[in-house]
Parts: sequence; structure tokens; C-alpha cells
Amino acid sequence: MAIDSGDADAPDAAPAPARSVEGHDPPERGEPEHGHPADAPIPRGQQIAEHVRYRETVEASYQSAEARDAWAAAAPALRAEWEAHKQRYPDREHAPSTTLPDGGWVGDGNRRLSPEQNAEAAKCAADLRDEAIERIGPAMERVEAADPGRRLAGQEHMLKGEDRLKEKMADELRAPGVTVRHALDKIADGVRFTLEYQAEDYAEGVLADVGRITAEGFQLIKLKNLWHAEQYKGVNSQWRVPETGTRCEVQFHTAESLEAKELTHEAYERIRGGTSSPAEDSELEDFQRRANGLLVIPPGTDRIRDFPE
Amino acid sequence: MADKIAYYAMIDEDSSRDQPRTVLRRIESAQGRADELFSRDLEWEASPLLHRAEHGDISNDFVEIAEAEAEQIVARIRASAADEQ
Repeated sequence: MAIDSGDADAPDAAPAPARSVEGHDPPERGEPEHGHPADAPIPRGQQIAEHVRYRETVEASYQSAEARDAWAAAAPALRAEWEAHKQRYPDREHAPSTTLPDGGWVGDGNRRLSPEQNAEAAKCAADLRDEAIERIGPAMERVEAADPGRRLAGQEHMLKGEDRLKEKMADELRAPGVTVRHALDKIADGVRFTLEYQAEDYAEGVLADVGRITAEGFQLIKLKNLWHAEQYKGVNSQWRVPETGTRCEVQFHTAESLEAKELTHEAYERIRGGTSSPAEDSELEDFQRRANGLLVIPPGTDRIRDFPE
Repeated sequence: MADKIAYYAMIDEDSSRDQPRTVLRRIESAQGRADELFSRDLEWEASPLLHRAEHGDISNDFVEIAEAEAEQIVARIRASAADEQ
């Protein structure tokens, strides 16, 4: 994994006088830090551990800078490529979603909900909106305020649109044995948040924020480390508000992985809509794979374990 | 080009690897790619669920399985539907 910085970092190879890595004023790369009081000897084991941590921090900074540069160099060409794709394959007209006279619903791709299902979905959307504003949003803002080194991104998209919620519900309901309640329960991204980090702070930041969200009283349902996936990079998680059972989603991104997600989102939507041609689908998939393939996995990300494992 | 078909067990919170919710299949042919789900109507129908999972939707897990296992799951779903009737 990315955190492995080679044999030179093995404890046996570490020079003896290394010291704290907490102060962000490190010595030259690879040099031990000197200057601590001579009357306060640091145990050898602690020296080694601190040196290893220091080396990891330095390596992480270098790797992150390289990753940022690589993405920054590639992103303009990818954006131009996407614009050219849209010229070659103009987006089709999307039929507007409609509520039928009997109270049922028809959405994009001829997805359908019965009147009862539609009423349940509408009520769910209203409840989500209330809870997002009153409970979940403020809690996530407190989490954000705990560390100025990263931010909540795209809070204006906190609520999934009602028609998108219904589309997803309709898709889930096609599986055998899925009830309306079950389908709605599975849709955690009705309320969603994205925390965005600098790559070098990513792993520590995600682990700390999972703790902070838990401390806000949310229960972790599921967490997936998707940094090794081909078409999407990041960590995604689902949470439950214990008092109400409401779910929400929190995504953890670097600035680069969030940009890649946004850059490829339209491509994803075109395939998901099911109306792009096979030839276009093939190009869209290739585009998404290449865009995400340019992302460098942030250091230490292997410490972020799936839950449940 | 002959169609290449891959099968996936779909697993959610109320199902398991031993008793998956249903099966999806991904068909790749000269015409392109199509994802189909074995549905509550006991038919194969187009579905975006696998595509969603590949793009970060963690609501369902998909595990690639052999065709023989896919057939067993489909048979179980059919039998369960018949019992309910």
C-alpha cells in the first residue's frame, strides 16, 4: 500500500536520535531531528517509533503533492474530452416525471410507483427534509467545525431530489421480496454529506471523523473503502439516527477524488439512465475508468477498514 | 462475438451470501453491455443496481458467482413465489 516507504523505514535502519513529529517544522528529509534537552533521554523504542512516523509523514506529503500535480495536469484534458463526447453524443431529452391521476408516479426510464408507493415515498422525502434540517445537518456542521483542515463539500446537495429518491425506490422494488419500507430504508443517500480532505491528511482525518460522527450519536451501518474500485474512488458510509431510524450517507473524499467523481458524474448518469447506445456506453465506461485511474491512493488508506468487515 | 455472461449474487441487509436477495447478470456482446436482474415478476429485466454499486452506492453488495449457483438462486426464488401463491 501507499504508506509503505521501503526498507529504509524499517526500525532496524532508523537512526537513534529521532524525536517528535508533532511540530510541523521537520528537519531535512531523512535527517533525524536534534536539539532536545540532554537531560531528558528518550527511550530507544520511542525514538524509532517517532522516526518511523516522521518518515511516513514526509513520504505522505511527497506522495500527496505528486498526486495533486498528476491530477491537475490531467484534469483539463479530461474536461475537454468530456465536452467533445457531449458534442458527439448529444444528451437525449429526459421525459419529466409525472404524478398520475390515480396518485401513481412515472419517472425517467418508465420507472413506476403505485399510488400507495408514491405516497409513502413522498412522505419519506418530507420527513428526510425535516430531519436533515433539524438534526443531521447541524450535527455534521459540528463535526466539520472540529477540524479546520477539511470541509463539508456540496452542502447544497444535502437532500436527494424527490424524483431521484422515487427512481431509486422503483429500482430497488424490482428485486424479489423487497417491500416499500425496505426499499426506503435501503436508500441512505436521501440525506448525504461529503467531507473533503487534503490527501496527506486523508486517512487520519477519515478515521477521526468516523469517531466524531459516532460521538454525535449516529450508528454506523456500513462503511466501504472503495479506493481500489475501478470507476469510483473514495470511502462511503451509511449511518442511522437511532431515535428515528433515519439513514444518511457520508462520503469521504480527497479534493482530487471528489473532482473525479464530479467530472464523471454525467457519464455515470447517462449509463444509469439506460438510454445511451452500446457504443456510447463503452466510451463512457472507458472515460470513467481512465479518470479514476489517474487518482493516487492517499497514504495510509489501507487502515480504513470496511464495516462490517 | 459470442455473448459473455457474468452472474452476481445481490446481497442486502436482509439477505446473505447463502441466501442472496436475487441474481444480476451482465451480458457483453457485440452490441454492447446489458445488466439484468431476476425480478419480482420472475423475469430478467434491465437494472441499474450493479452499475450504481460500481459507482459508490453501497446499499447492495454484489458477488460474482458461477452460472450453476445463479441457476440455483433463480430456482429458489421461483419456488418461493410458487409457495406464496
